[in-house]
Amino acid sequence: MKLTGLFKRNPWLFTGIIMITFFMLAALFSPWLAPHDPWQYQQPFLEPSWQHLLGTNDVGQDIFSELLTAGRVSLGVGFTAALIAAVTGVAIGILAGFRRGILDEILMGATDVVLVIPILPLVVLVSVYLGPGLLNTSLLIGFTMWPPVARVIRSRVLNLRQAGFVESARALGAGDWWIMSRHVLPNVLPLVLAKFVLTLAGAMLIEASISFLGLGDPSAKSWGMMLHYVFTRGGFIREMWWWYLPPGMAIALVILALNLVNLGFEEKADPRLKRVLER
Amino acid sequence: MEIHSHPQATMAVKTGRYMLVLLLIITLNFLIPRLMPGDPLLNIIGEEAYYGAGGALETLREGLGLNQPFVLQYFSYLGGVFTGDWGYSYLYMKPVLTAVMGHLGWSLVLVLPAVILAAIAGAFTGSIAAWRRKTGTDTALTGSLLLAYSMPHYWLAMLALFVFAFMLGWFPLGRAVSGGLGGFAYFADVLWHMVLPLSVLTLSKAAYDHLIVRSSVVSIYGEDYILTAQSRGISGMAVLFKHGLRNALAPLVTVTAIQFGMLFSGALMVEVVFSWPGMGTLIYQAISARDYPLLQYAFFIITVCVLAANFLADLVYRWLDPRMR
Amino acid sequence: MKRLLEVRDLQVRFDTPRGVVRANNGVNLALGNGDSLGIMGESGCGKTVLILSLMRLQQPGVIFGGSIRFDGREITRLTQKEMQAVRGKGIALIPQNHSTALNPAYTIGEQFGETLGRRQGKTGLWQMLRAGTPGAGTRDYEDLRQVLSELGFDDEAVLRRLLASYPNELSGGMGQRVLIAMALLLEPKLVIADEPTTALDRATRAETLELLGRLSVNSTLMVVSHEMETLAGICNRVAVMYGGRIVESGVTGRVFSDPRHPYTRILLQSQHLTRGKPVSSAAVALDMVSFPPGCPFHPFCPEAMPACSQEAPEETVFDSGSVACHLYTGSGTCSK
Repeated sequence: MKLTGLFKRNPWLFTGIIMITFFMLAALFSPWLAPHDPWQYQQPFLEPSWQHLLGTNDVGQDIFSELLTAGRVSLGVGFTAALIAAVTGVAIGILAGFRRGILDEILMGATDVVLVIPILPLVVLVSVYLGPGLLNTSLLIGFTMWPPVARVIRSRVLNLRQAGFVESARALGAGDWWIMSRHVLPNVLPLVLAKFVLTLAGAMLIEASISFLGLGDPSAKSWGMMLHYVFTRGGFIREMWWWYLPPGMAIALVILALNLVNLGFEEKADPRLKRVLER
Repeated sequence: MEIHSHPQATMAVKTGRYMLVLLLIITLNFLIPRLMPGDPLLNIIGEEAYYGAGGALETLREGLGLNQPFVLQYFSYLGGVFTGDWGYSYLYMKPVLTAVMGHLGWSLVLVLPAVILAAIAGAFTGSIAAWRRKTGTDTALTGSLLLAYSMPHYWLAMLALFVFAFMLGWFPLGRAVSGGLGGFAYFADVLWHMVLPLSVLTLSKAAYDHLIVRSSVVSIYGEDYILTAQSRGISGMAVLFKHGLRNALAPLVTVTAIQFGMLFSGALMVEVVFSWPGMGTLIYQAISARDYPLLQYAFFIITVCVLAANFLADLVYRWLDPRMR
Repeated sequence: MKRLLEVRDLQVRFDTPRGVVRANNGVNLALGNGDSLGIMGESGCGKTVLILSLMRLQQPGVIFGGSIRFDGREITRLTQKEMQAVRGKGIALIPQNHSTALNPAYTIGEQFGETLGRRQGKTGLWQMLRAGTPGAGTRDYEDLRQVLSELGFDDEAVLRRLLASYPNELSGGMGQRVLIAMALLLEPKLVIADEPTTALDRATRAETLELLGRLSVNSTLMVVSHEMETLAGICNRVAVMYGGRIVESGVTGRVFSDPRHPYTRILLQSQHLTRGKPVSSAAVALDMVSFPPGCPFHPFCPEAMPACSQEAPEETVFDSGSVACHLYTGSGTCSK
């Protein structure tokens, strides 16, 4: 079977992709999959039953429906933030690596500075001033997570330059922007994909943390926000494991899937093979 | 898990960079309240204070120098930061400096042991997993640690609290002290309270270290000096730890430094769940009370700690890698 | 006379992303006590895999066929622990390049300490962690001094400086001598040198050759090299490898002056032309993943016959050598 073959070659990657696809589909189709309207107030603090698979929360909303809908928010914010981080990081990385000189120094200096700042405290601080809002949160997280991407992209661009790629293109009369977009960018994209996966995981974790602290958007509940309510509205004290386990597990499984994919990307062939091959 | 740093940059350059970061943070803290919409005074002293001040509002405004030119304000602010005049916290009814420093100690009590324990544990499991790559041992170790790493810190904390404190009753339900104890009993009490939060934090961090070390050792196993060591006939364990891990230590230190910020952030979240009286609880309470000065300086001091960790790691890295000497 | 080493039909396979590579495809050789055998061949012929397999360090390759009898024991069937005991004291390796073969994190002295510890049977982790540079006045230090002075480090100050330095601080020649010393200190039954002269310049090469020559007189030696000059100077017998098999073997003088196998002839010619400089002759380079059936050399062989593309030739044994070529088997005309 072709599938088992694929699994054997890179079990981490395969498992991760299956998992992430499952969650993305669930999030995408949540309005149709959710048995109840997650905003509708029903009887609070109910235990799981056939009617309410995961019971109801402190204001009587069906937790299962909440879970599905929250997936959209969590994944949505994560994606947006990761996208912003990726685009910014690629742009800066390519510019710095390509142009070198003063521009490189300045950009990399800025990158190093932002890299070292602890992200969660910064996002907390600014969020407190900005107030809740999904877009704000996504933008904020995105603009703090670009440094690792920029670094890696810049290294790759430097390698490409050394490989003579750029020289030959220049010799043929190509302009800088042309080279950057037509030659450099395509070569750099696979790397970006790997970094995107990690950034997405990180962004989701930050969002979950912010929401848990109470800085999330109450009009758009994410998994983190669900956990915030569990903790602050007595769900935890009342040992309502059907309320606090699922959202946490959902976050954990999505991030696990992303980490598996990342691990899959990184698993290289046995380095000892070079003795036989590289001759 | 790539390593992003220039170990080759001189210590002077790095120190300069760190100073620049601090200056940037301070400036940011200065600018945000004054540039955000609304009365800067509100943004500076926080909501509770503002709405509770009544007639004293203008006196406060004068006192904080908000009627002075911008540049003057900046330099006096700068001066304030370095002399320890960090303003007053209306939440705790004490100077911000005192409140922050008091909580910082408790955070460090969790964070510092966690860093060290996690590095040791992760280095050990990572080496074993690398040595036994593609076998069941590797899959089990790496898989389960990856799962632990993927869980939000606070959620793992909730699970631990539920199982070991609520259900089994082996450990206290939160806080750092039970109260009313002195001397040795006090320390023992703190340790007892520390077990769960420390374990949660260590587990999360150890997972990351495991992955880093595993990756490093796998690539080191392709090096010729591993072959030479094996050809001498020394034991597999000796090759793994004396040669393999030894050369993976330097990158581990670098990565630990870079991840210190994340570790601290994780600690904040764990503290909230365990009601541990560290920076996490401080920030949590400051958020509810909208006590801005507290939040600003918490951010500042956390960044100082992270930078200090980076600096220390740079030193250790240089010591570990003889090629740098 | 009982043979120290007997390899019969050794098959070693590697699973690579591009496909399966049969690095060793039926290797036969034998070595008696006191012999010095050279393995000659170009990059990719399988000679490195061969010597690694003798020590069962060929991973991730797999020995899936054949037998290796060393000192009366079947290497392929030993347990890990038993194999560990053989490595070092039974068979010792002199690696090719000191700058990559020595751990850059430890001083030369510390690495000698490890070697000497192993000699005493201390191989465990704890013991290895405690093995440091041998202290002056100890028996270990004296033995070390003796071996190193025979290799040219006779000055006490020079010796101390050497022990305190790191691998990256050594020159090519010094590094090579350190590697040789490490192998000798283990007092092995068989010494294998992997390309001992390749990483060296002219002058140091001559020195090293002389050292190895002396070595070959007192020990059983196996030298892997693509350089005729090196092997001529050290080995009394030589085996030529191509495509994972030994295609010709015999007394060194005879093989070099009157080669039987067409590949040997081409190899020697190219060495004369380039004065022994490393040549990876693309003209005869084999794709180890997908080589055609029959004799691996037949696509490049000037004397190829129909039989060559159908069936791999068996080894024809002569008085003190062998050749694997259809020119000498029943299915072809016999020349010489």
